[in-house]
Amino acid sequence: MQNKTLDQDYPNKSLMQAESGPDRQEASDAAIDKEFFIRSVFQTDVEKGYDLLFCHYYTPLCSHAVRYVYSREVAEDIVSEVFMAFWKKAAHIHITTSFRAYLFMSVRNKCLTYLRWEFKNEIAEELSDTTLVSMHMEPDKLVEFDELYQRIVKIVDGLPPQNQKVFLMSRFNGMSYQQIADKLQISRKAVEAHISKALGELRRALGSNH
Amino acid sequence: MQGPCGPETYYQNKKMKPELTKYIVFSYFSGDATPLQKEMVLKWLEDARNVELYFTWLEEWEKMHIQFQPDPAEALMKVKAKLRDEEQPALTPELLPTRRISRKMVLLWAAACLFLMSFAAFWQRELLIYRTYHTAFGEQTRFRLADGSTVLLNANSTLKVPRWGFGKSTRHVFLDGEAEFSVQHTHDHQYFKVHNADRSLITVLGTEFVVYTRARKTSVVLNKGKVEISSPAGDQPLTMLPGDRATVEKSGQIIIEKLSDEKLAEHSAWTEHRLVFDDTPLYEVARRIHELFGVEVKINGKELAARTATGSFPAKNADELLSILSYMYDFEIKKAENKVILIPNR
Repeated sequence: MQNKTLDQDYPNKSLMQAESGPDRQEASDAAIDKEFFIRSVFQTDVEKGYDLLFCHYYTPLCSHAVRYVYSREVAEDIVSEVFMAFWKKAAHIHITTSFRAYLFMSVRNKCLTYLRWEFKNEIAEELSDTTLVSMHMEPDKLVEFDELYQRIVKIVDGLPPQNQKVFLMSRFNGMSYQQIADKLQISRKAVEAHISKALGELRRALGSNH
Repeated sequence: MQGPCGPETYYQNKKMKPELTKYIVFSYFSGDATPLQKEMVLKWLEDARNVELYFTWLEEWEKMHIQFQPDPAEALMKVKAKLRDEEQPALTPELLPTRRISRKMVLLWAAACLFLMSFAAFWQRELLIYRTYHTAFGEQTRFRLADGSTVLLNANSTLKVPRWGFGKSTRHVFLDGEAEFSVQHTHDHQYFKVHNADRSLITVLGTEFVVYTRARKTSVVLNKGKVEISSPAGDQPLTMLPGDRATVEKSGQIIIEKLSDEKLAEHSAWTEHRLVFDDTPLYEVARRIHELFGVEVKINGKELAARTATGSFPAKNADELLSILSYMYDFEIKKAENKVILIPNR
């Protein structure tokens, strides 16, 4: 099971490499160039630019979203929704930030809306993405977002092993309670208990600050 | 509380305008930063330029710490399908019906106009509004319209041209029969419109073309320039290029096909008092003779009727044409009143 890919402890080696000397600058330059290249394609062929944008950012955005929502399916849905909104609003014309910043911000906002809806049963008020983006671009908001997913990581990481396992199987892999029960050879009731405990933890932790 | 980052870096960064190493930001992303480092990141972000760098690094960090591997290509396909789906239902309930109604209205108006026009045409007013050119059987007339365009009207054909305002505000003519138009291009690019017997419409700027519009069908052959053809049933006007022939079916459907040079010549042969046939069955030839010369031709025997004629024939009158054909196909011509019967020789 490769569920526990969430890295509290990042691979130090690769970080050190990225840190050392010109490599670091090169990597960032490449990222900037990529963005620049996609922008230039948008100017000549919007659809092609969109395809490129999608393929380039889909995976990292999903990876980012899943840190908040802990469900592979929800993460992909959120990222797809962001891209759909991008297309419908012809965001490439309007946005003043980089596409990257816009996309990451939109994904974060949607994740937050989702979490509010899920854990606080609030009627999620969806602000239009552009206002949200400009609103949450302030440094403390950015940091808040970072702290949010980090808090979630800590909560999930702090769950007892079996509890965590069940939670990830259900949320991340989207397995049904029965499937999990069969797989772990426990009762369905036990699965339900695990899930509600894990969700309770999350709700408590998220509710305290939001 | 000493993070992975050494104290030296920290002090260096503190002194200068906050500039962070990617290392610190990465450990911050991973949730490993010390409170002091977090504070640094916050300060660093206050410079708006760093916000973009923050996202660049966030992307890079995510790529190094991918949580799961989705399939972007598949997701893109789904998103595109959704966008397409959404576009349609969004359009159908709101936009299309209104458009449909307005199109219907336009059609209604068009029908009303046509009705009024044909109504007017039935009454004496027609004489007032239109100048009518008519050719008798076997007769051809060439004339020039007020705008400088010339028309060669084939036998048994009628062309109506508005008496007033022609060439000034509009250039509409109404044709029933066959004509060759040579339309003069005007300075103000005014359209020349030919309304055919079946209500199909040819829109022209300046060009040469031949129209055949009679009860059984309408066909347009374009020699030069560019014209547009539309019919009440077809939704969009079709554009013809030189050498094209457009046929308007009874259903209103328009078929455009490219003609070979020979075929092209066939369609304007009548302008030189000739008829060109290319594997044309005799019953077709008979019909043609009827149209042009008002002579009803009856063919005795299916075999003879199905034989085909090929070639260019002089066609000043029905007699001349028929006598040549009788020689070629070995039939006798029997004349009755306004009727000719072809009887195969045994």
